[in-house]
Amino acid sequence: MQRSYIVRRAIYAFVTFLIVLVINFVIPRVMPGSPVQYFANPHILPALEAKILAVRFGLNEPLWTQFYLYMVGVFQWPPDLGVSYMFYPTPVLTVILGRLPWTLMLVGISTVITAALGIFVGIWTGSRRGSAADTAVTSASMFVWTMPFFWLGTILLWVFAIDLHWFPAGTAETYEVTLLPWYQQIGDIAWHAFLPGLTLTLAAFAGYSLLMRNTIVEELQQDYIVVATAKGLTRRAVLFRHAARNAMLPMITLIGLNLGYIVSGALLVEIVFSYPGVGFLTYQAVLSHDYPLLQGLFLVLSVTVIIANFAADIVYALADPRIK
Amino acid sequence: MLKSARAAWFRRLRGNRRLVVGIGIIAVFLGMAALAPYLTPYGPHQVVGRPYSPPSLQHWLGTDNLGADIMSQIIYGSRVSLMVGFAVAVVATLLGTTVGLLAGFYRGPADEGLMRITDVFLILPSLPLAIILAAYLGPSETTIIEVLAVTSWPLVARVVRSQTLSLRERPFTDAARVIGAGNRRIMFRVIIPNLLTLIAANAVLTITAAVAGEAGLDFIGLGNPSVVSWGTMLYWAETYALFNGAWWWIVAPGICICLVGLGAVLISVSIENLFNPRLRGR
Repeated sequence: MQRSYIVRRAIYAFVTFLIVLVINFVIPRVMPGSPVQYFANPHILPALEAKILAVRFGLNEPLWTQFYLYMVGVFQWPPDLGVSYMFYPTPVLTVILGRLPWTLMLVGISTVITAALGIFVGIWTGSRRGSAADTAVTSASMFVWTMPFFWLGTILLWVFAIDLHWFPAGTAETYEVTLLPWYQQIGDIAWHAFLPGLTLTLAAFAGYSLLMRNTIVEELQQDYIVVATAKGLTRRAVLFRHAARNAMLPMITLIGLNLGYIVSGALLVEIVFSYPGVGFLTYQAVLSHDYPLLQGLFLVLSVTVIIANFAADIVYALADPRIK
Repeated sequence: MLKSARAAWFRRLRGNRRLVVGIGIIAVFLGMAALAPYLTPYGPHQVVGRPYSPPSLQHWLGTDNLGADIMSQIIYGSRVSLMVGFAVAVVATLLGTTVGLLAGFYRGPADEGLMRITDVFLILPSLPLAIILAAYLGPSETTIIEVLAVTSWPLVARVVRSQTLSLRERPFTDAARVIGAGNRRIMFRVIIPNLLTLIAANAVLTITAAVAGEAGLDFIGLGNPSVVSWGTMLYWAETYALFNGAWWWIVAPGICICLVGLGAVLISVSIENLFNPRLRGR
């Protein structure tokens, strides 16, 4: 793979990160209210602590000084994003990093399952375009596609957790879980993650399968498919070794682009299932007007998506030999 | 020649069942929003029955925790939900089209700058952005419209830009330039008319996304909970219906959101099929 391509994408990701930092800095400062009120409110924090924070981030200084101190905070190690109101005196970053693994697990595993399923169903329906099976699966996917994540989650929660009691209605693990042997711990975590994961998978599946189907349909009309068929290759070989490989490229782009959307969906799904990831944390922060935590959450989530997009770019380059 | 082409076009239009169904669905909901007071005898907050009554002949979709009629709430709620959807689509389409058109038409540094900003907004997780904006601006439907417009325009800009890039290289654009048309004339008389289908198809999709997005923001309490919309209905239902077995209260608003989404997708897909000969017969 070409090194210059990676370097270019890395620079691009870094520039995006800088713009996100600026957006994150600007939003609270163009809103009605003062930065002190949002980030070092003496009515919420102990007076001395509020004063220290106001000086530390220069909240009463001119905007440029504030920006400078904000950047110093972000680029020091460990990054200083202020102190959470709700979880005082824990720093914002510590609070977020404690919850992030749950969300990453949920989004990561469900994305892998969804993409794999979407690819196979897309190949299957795309190679049978117009058949009864294709029509049925494609229409059903389109219908599920229009469902809001959180509504689908509410329905699943209600049927399988509240009504049938098959799955727990909330939290990520049983209280006494640490007393159990490791394989039961994993089982317990999987049992709690099942419904939120299923919601994400169902809601995002259609986007992948529909794109894969359309790309396969398009690829199957190309000349190289005729050549491959004329060479005497089996239908399966033509489909998987030729058409599907080329159809994977737009899929990789979509998986990368979709991550922001999936993260957004995961936030709502976590709220529905009271799943203790960053989405539920965002909800708690909104309810208790914890602005430092909200700003930190936005920053961390954006960084996660930027990194994931960068990873998708690299995978794309590995998969597409034309990239120079 | 032209006449027969137009006749063929209309034949395709009439034969296009998906478009008819899509327009039908959206028309029903628009009619519902427009005629709300004539369609239901009850106000959305009026107590008219026992709390948590299941669907019956008198209350087709049952009642809520206070005994208000859910059907009436769905009908009145369609006003706010659709209004937000359309408002967001208008703002996002205008903004996205302007950015995409300028970037695609002038190329060079303007394109580079505008697209960099667009890409950043495209990458940003839209819901967290919407949540922090709404958290500062305070819960209201205006906030929701602004916030959703901010997060929906980049996709429009991307699509419009790539189509503009292709349109400005077409022979008819060269022809317009050769006969002395200026930039502004080419943009308004040549490029924009050719973009309209694409813009319309995208605007319809933006409506769906906005209706669902509105519901999502309402659901987590960032809308005004005293306004009746499909989203605030779900917000209250999450609190009261779930543990009282009032399934009708949760199911009804969700189905409406899905149906609006389905109608919009059908319209959008059909518009693209009608005007894009490569996709015909798919």
